[in-house]
Amino acid sequence: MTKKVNVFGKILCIAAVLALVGVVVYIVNSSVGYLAGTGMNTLTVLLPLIVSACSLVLMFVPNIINDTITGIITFLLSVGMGYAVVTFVVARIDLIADLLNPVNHPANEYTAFTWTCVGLVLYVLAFLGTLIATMGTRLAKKKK
Amino acid sequence: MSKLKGVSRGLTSLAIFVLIASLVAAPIMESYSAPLDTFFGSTSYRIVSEQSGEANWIYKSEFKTAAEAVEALRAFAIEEAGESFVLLKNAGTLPLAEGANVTLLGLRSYAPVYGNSMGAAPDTTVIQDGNQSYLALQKAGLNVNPAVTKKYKDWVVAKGGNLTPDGELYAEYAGAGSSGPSESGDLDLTGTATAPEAAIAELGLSADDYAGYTDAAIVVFGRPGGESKNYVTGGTDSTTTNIFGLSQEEKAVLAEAKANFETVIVLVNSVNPLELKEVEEDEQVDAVLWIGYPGSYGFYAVPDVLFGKVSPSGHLGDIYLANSAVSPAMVSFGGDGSVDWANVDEFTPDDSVNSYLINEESIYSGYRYFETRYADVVAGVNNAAEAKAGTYTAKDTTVATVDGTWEYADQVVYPFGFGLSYTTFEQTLDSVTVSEDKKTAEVTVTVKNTGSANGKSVIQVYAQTPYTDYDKQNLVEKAAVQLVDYEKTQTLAPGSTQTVKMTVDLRNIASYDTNGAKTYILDAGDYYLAIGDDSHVALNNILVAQGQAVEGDAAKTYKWTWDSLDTETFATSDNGTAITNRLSEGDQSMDINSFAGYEGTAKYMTRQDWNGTYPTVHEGIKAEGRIAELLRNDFIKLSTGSEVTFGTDHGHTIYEYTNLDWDDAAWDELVDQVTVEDFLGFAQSAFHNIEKIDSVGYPGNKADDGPGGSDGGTYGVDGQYQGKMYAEMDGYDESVAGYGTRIAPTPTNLAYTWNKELAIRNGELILGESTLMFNYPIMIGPGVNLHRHGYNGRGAEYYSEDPILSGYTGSAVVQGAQSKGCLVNVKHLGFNDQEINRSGIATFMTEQAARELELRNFQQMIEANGKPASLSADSALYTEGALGVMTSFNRIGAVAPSANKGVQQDILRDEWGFKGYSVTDFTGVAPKAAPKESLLYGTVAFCGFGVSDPYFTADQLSADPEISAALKKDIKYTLYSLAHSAAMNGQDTTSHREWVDTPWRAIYRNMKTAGIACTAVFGVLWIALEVLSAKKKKGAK
Repeated sequence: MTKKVNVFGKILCIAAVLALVGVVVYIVNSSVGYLAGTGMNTLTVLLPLIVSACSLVLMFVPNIINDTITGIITFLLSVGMGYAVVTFVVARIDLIADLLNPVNHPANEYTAFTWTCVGLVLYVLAFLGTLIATMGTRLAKKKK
Repeated sequence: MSKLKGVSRGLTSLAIFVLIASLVAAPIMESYSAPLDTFFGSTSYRIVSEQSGEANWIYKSEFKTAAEAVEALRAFAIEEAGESFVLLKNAGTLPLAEGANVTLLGLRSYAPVYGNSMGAAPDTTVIQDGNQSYLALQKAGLNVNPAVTKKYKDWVVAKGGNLTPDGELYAEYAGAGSSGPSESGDLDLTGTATAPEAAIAELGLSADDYAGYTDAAIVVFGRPGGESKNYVTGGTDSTTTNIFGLSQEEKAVLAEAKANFETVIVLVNSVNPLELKEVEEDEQVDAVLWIGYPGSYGFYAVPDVLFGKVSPSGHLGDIYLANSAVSPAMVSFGGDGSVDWANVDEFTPDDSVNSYLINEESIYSGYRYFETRYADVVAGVNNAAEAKAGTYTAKDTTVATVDGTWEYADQVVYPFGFGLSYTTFEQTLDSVTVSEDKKTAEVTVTVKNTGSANGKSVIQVYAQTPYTDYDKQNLVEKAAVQLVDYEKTQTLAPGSTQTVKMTVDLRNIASYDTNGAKTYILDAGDYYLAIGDDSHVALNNILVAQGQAVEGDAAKTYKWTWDSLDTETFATSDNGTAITNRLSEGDQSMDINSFAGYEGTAKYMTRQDWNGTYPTVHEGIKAEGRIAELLRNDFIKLSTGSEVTFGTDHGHTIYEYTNLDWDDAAWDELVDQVTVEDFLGFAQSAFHNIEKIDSVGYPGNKADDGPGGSDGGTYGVDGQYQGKMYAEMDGYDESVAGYGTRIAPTPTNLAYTWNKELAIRNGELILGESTLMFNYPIMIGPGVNLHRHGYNGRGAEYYSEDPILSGYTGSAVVQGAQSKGCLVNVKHLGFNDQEINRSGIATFMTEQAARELELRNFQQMIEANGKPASLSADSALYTEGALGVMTSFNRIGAVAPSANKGVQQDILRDEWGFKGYSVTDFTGVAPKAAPKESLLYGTVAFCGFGVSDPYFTADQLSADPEISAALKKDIKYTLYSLAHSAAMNGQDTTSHREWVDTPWRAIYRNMKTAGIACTAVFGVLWIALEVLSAKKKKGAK
């Protein structure tokens, strides 16, 4: 029996990549420019990494765990990614609130905000990807 | 089944996400309740008192219904507008005959600037309720050419402008921050880079369009302004290339008017001074009327003035120049308003460092420069007549490109204080008596209406002090003329007179001597007081008295002589505090030259050599040494070992202290009760909010932004009379539900009335009644920073370039507001000269300039100075100064404004005796506010969101001996100011917060409910399907 990743598996793969890219954006966004030195939320970093790692592992071990377990794992991955989205937003509330203040803002603050938006979009897309993958019965087709 | 299982699993995940988001959102949204309330127009809580009775209402509103309030405020707004208009030119054309048929020309005749953006923005709901300018003019009796106005409407609509359901122009742009009515971007009515104007050809106008409406063309030119607005010099197509000159398109409109109408009247719809020399000198322009930003109802006052029902009595509170970019103060303003530190990249965002501004002009901003140099030109001294290229205006209003002669007439179009009337007045200086203690002068002036129309006259009293060798040796600068007091008469009928007796505060003629006596001095020599119709006339009167060959009237001056230098009379403040250098040395210095390594950096202008010391731009300065340390906002290290205790319960509540004097020892026990945690909780939650203080039984209140009235309050949502909501009263008129109190002309208009009594009334209605009707004990206003030059985009929110006109206007507003229990926040202390880089810019100047201009201005409000001559000695007003201030964004020297000990502690609290509430301007508890230093020097609250400063913890702050002692004082300032305000109104020991449902609370609440329900439903479904699936598989095997 060989495996071929189905549409849900592909979406989960894409979600994993988006989560990885997203976390890189978040880390860079938090480390350089306007937000340098402001610290990072551990969960905002760890959760996407875990989601990515688990998703990729799932792609290579479809025949080891059954559909129910796969479903539970993808479910947990989507919950985790959803929680990462929430922590990302919380981590940037101060930045958003500051920008609502109509005083002059340094250019790198707007840059930080732009990359925050990019990162957040990646997180949200990754979350939606895991969510869709969760709806699949399995991640790979069984082929004789 | 497997598909259904997957879908239910996915939906369960989504539901959990919604649930988590709602749980996280709830506390965040609650912490941002004030801005959310503003955004949604909601009220998130009310204060409920179980035993509240009549006696608890310490302050009572004048208005028991919304209808009463709307009508009274409307009438006042129109009265104030009419009295603020300044007649700049009149060739006998005005007043117009009633019934005149006129044509309005210029884009601003259809889409005027009603008010400034943000802080004093006009109420657009009111405007759009049939009070648009062109409608108001018609309703007030002006027969306006409908065809031409329609062509402007069509043009604006074609450019993307939106119309109300009634087919009239939306006025959202009137107080908007950045965008106009157009979404297409073709037309931006609020921008400051260009002056939009409709070309005559584009409008398709021809002489036929004017038929029947040719009695006069009224041409309106305007420029917007307000918070966050920036103006810069150059880059436009006006003669001077400045934005304040008339653009080619505007000149074309004027040419069209002149070509088709015998009578041409120009309305100036701008607060930043326009360059009007070409209009003034144009013989075909018959009249010019400054209307500023007249507010939501102000255009109703225009016909009153045009027809002569109201004779103009406003006077300019700023000098009007031929070329607005040419003055010493504009040098450091430069092209972009400031100069970046050369090593700005070495600082972090928390440092909030960008640029510096060195006010090299010293005290010579505005009319002080132009009139003083003029006096020296007349006297032929101090290298005044010679002028280097680039430092003066040529006869064609451009910047002179060659060295030449400085001519007053080439520089100034309208002097400070200028304003015409439909009648004439004769002012007689009856007597002047200088008190033996040198502190006051009794000035008596009789005014006679010598013309043929009713009118009010403004008595302007100016002073000249001697400029001596001592001054030159010690670099004490002296203006040749300075305003020291003013009064406005009642309406005088032709032939009638009024005698006004004024008590001039001679503290305001003392000069601050930084280098010699290190305090205020009175020089030996000749002193003059003079009356005059404006600053130039008054100066000429003095010059004539001195024997100079200029036109003037020496009889309007009074001279006295003091024989010796006096370094004592004004060396102590009213409360006995020694006045000495506070801004010239150490961390709090405003003089960049005082910092090690920066000696000689600034070369301040001196009257000794006008041409040789004209300011220059200093680029490329690096922030190093102590300046760099101060810029990083962490310059006081915390220590431990404090023995100060907090939170001792004596069983008191704040309600027992509403009438208690500051010096009463009973305050100690109340202050003792407050825990550090309670106080820090109060201090960190000050965005449109007065946080609860549980340890004294205070449940908190809301606050709102002024200075033009309530930002968020409306009669429908917030309006109430002693706790009973207007909207719940019988006969409530729904049509005014969306109205608020931001309906008066912009603050600059108020100052231009030169009417202290009117300013008191403005304070009562616009700030005071906002407090009472909408239950906002704190109103953030008035805004009072001086107009250092004409380019501060926010100038409209402030009063004037002069510290006495501004200070006395502000003081009157404060008195009116506080009479209603409003806890004012006079702002922004201090030196908000410009909006460009306002958050972070480091502002430097001499201590003399700081004290004699901006600080003298604030001092009048803090000390309740400037009492009108009409008020009796036993008036309850002017017995207590302002009880609240808001600090600025810009640094004072190198230090965060709230952390500048010199200004906030030594001068504000020690010298002036300020006992009130001091709040930062939207910093939050962030490092940029230098929170621990600010608390140490008297700041009690931080407007903004969030705590990101690592030192802002009860443990750290209460452990430090100095800061814990300061916290005790800060707590007393807080409790005292709250107890003497409407924060106590309607409250008692049973008062508590009662939550009110709001749209934003409904969002997170409904999300939570949906999240829980969906998680349960889809989760159970998923589990059930999994169980069924497992059984099925088992059965199949």
